[in-house]
Amino acid sequence: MKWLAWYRRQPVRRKIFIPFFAITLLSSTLFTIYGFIQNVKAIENEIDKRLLIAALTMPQLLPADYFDRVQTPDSIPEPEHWANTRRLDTFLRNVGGTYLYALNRVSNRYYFVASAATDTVYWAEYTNPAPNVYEVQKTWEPNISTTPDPDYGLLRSVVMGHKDSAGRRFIVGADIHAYEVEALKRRAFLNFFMMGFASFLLAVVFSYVASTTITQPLTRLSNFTRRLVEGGFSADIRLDAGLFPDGNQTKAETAILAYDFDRMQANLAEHIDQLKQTQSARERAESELRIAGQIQETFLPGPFAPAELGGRVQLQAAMKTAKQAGGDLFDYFALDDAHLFFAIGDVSGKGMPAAMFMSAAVVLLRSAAKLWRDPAEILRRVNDDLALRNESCTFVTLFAGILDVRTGEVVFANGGHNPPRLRNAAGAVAAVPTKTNMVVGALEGQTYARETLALRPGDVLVLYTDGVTEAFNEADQLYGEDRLDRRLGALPADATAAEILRSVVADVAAFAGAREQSDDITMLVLRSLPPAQITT
Amino acid sequence: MELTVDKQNQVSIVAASGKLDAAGAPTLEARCKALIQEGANRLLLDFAKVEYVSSAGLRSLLVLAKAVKSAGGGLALCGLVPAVRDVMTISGFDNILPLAADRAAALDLLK
Repeated sequence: MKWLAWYRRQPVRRKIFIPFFAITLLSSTLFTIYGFIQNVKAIENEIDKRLLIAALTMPQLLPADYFDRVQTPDSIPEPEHWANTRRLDTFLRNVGGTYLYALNRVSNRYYFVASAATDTVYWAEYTNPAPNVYEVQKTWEPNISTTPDPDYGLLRSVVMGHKDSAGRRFIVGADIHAYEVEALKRRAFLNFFMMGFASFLLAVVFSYVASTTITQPLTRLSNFTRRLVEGGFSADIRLDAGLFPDGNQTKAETAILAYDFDRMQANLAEHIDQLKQTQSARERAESELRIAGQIQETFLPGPFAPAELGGRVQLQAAMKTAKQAGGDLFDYFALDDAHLFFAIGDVSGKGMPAAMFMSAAVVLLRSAAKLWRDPAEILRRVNDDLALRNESCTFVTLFAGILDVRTGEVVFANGGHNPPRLRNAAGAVAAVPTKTNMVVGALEGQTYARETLALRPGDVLVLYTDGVTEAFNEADQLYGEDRLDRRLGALPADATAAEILRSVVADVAAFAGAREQSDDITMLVLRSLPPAQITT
Repeated sequence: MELTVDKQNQVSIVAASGKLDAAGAPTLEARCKALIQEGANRLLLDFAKVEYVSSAGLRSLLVLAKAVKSAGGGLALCGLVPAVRDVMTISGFDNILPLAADRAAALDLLK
């Protein structure tokens, strides 16, 4: 398994080359061994055949009556013997043996009566006959064996019987030294080994070249891919067209791959370009939204300056926007040293359209407040201005009031907004009863009722948008007016406007828990100070 | 926002259920506008199963009211649950949209 894992990690070139190499090595080895074994057999057969032919032919090379004559130690004159020896010797050299001889057995002793050996005299005694000399006498058939001869060493040997005309038996033999056979075998082995090695080398070189040729386009593709990635997919890094000379009119997989890769890269470069443009467009849009949000914030008033109104009231307002830009608004400013204008509103819908509508509403509201100083008239004017050609029917709920800090009288008008809560000095909380009027900006020609309420010292007026009472918790429950009233009622009588606002906002946040805020949460808290707390 | 449309005496009755909020309002608006395109100019919205109406929902009602008015017809609502009726009252929409207790009363209003 370790091996397999290693193999899988190798480059394709090596993946192809390694099995090629292994198969070549194996087949070359098998071929060499098999060929050698076959050759050894052939050599042995060949030698045996030669020895047999030599033994069979030997009597023919001697005079016709030779075996009839060789009965005694002096029946063949020496010159004739040496002449026969030379003839046999010449023949043996041609055939390729070591010994060629004929033996006569006389009273269990063996005498050479003919030999190819130039040092063997006629009737020389063969004192230590090899085992096959005895063996052949059992059947007189040709006996082929490897025989250890006590005097001449290990021999490959053929011995057989030969009859003279009177039917007497002679032993005829042809031998070759075993080491000569071994030398032939060694030479054969060397030849086969050389041949096998040469074919192995050839195959290795071929498979190396083949694997390199096959994988070269892949290697180039791979190098190209790396360059492409390192170059950030730039369209300038192009694939060498030489990799797909025939375009897509080919059956070569690597060329098809290269061709498709080239096309893919062209598409990729185009897409990346588009993506970059889209990205920059989106970043521009996001940055514009952010700036729009900042501009929207500038329409809201800065911190309340109590000194302007003789320090008789506290006012705290805050807006906690939801994720999506919303359309809540609030405003306040001193009309003169005795009158405070304040308003809260909620534009229908969400997002950019609501934010734009809010901007228009808050600007119109502020200028109308300065001109008309009457909440009912202010709402009527703002409504007519906003409703003019308002095809989208977007509207804003508005509660606007003017407080006379000297008397505590609040003149107000409610354009479809939720009624504020009023907490008296004793801690009792109630909704401010208001007449219901149409929301602002939806339909032209609406009129708004002018109403009044008394803000006594210690009273707190809480204006809010439905982001407060319609905040959901994780169990999908609403925060609701009851919770708001309980929270307001639970606060100490001397809680400042800022403390009251913070406390309610914290209570709403605790109630909502992990539930995402879906709407802007906006509050405006107006507190008339008891005479003892008036600082200026 | 789930909607079922019915027709009775040339009045298109749209029964809605769910929340008429920023998500639901476009559904109601698109469906009713399609009806008006097809020639309906008298719309009865049955809100018996509408549990919540947001300011976005009010805006859609206003758009539809204007659309049927310019088509020479009218729009009425019926079956409002108390919470939704409060929203209509606070926003002043009860002054411009006829609100009926049930379908029969609403059909009378649209005659």
